[in-house]
Amino acid sequence: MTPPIEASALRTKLELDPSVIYMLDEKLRIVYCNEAWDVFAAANGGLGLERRTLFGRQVMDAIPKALTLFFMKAFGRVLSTKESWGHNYECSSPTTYRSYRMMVYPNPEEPGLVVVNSLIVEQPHSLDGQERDADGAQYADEHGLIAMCCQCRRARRVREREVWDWVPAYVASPPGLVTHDICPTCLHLTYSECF
Amino acid sequence: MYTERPGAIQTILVVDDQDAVRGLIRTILSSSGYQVLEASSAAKALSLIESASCSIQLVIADVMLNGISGCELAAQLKAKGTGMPVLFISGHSAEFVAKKCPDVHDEVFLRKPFSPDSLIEKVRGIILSSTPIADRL
Repeated sequence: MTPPIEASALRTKLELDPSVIYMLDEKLRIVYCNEAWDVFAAANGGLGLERRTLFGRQVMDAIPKALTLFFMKAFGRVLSTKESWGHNYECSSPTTYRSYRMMVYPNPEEPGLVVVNSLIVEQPHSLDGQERDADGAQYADEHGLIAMCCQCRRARRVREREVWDWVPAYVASPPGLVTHDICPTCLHLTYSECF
Repeated sequence: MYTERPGAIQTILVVDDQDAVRGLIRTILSSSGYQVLEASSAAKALSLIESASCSIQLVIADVMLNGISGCELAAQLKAKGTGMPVLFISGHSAEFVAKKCPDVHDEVFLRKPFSPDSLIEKVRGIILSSTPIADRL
């Protein structure tokens, strides 16, 4: 029988985020994955990779050898400095090109890290390399204002207000009418002491 | 060092079109003993100021608001002679905002995201500097 997922205020919030999010302890062992992990695994044939099967496993075992030093240094830096860090990476399947924005935060509830993976683009390989269009209609409200998280800089969808996307075009060149909000994930990662 | 006089509850009006940001500021300020009023637009803030039964010591205004901007709100408050100081908040830098809003300078500006301590420090500093010396004693 698989163990239950331990609840906390932060984990309850992270369950609602459609980005794939996991927590690591100080030894970089996986201690939590949100529901989006299971959704992603199920959609991509990840039978046997349900989140409960991963707890206690070393995250470095799932990272290609050529990249382990890079991530060891990056994760170590966040652990020691308590400052967040981010980068973009590709995680494609044989049929689909995907790129993600990874943001790594110090865990405000327990020693360790919170790793947030936001989808930038998902499309057939025939369109490789094209990033998410800065689709104003998807992000701008009736007044033309685009809400961006002041912490992670993801943009909020107008019709699916719980969904925050990493839009490279908005980060490279911020749109003119931006209102700075804070997404629920950053709110609880950054201001946990307030709640 | 100046400290708020015992029993003198200070009221702050928070003007931001984002519920999460207003809620966060309310939580931080309330836990430090301030009374907090909220408005989701400058128009609502002006209406609230007109009808408020208590005096407001500080307005915290997002620079980028739908309709009347935070800068225009500050200008209207000044023109009305309210004497209410304004703390501007924005995700943009102070330099960027100052190009559109000449009243913005470092002492009255806080960039999002901000820490609870930096917010409280800014609020105390502005309220103190706008309080007549005789009232501080």
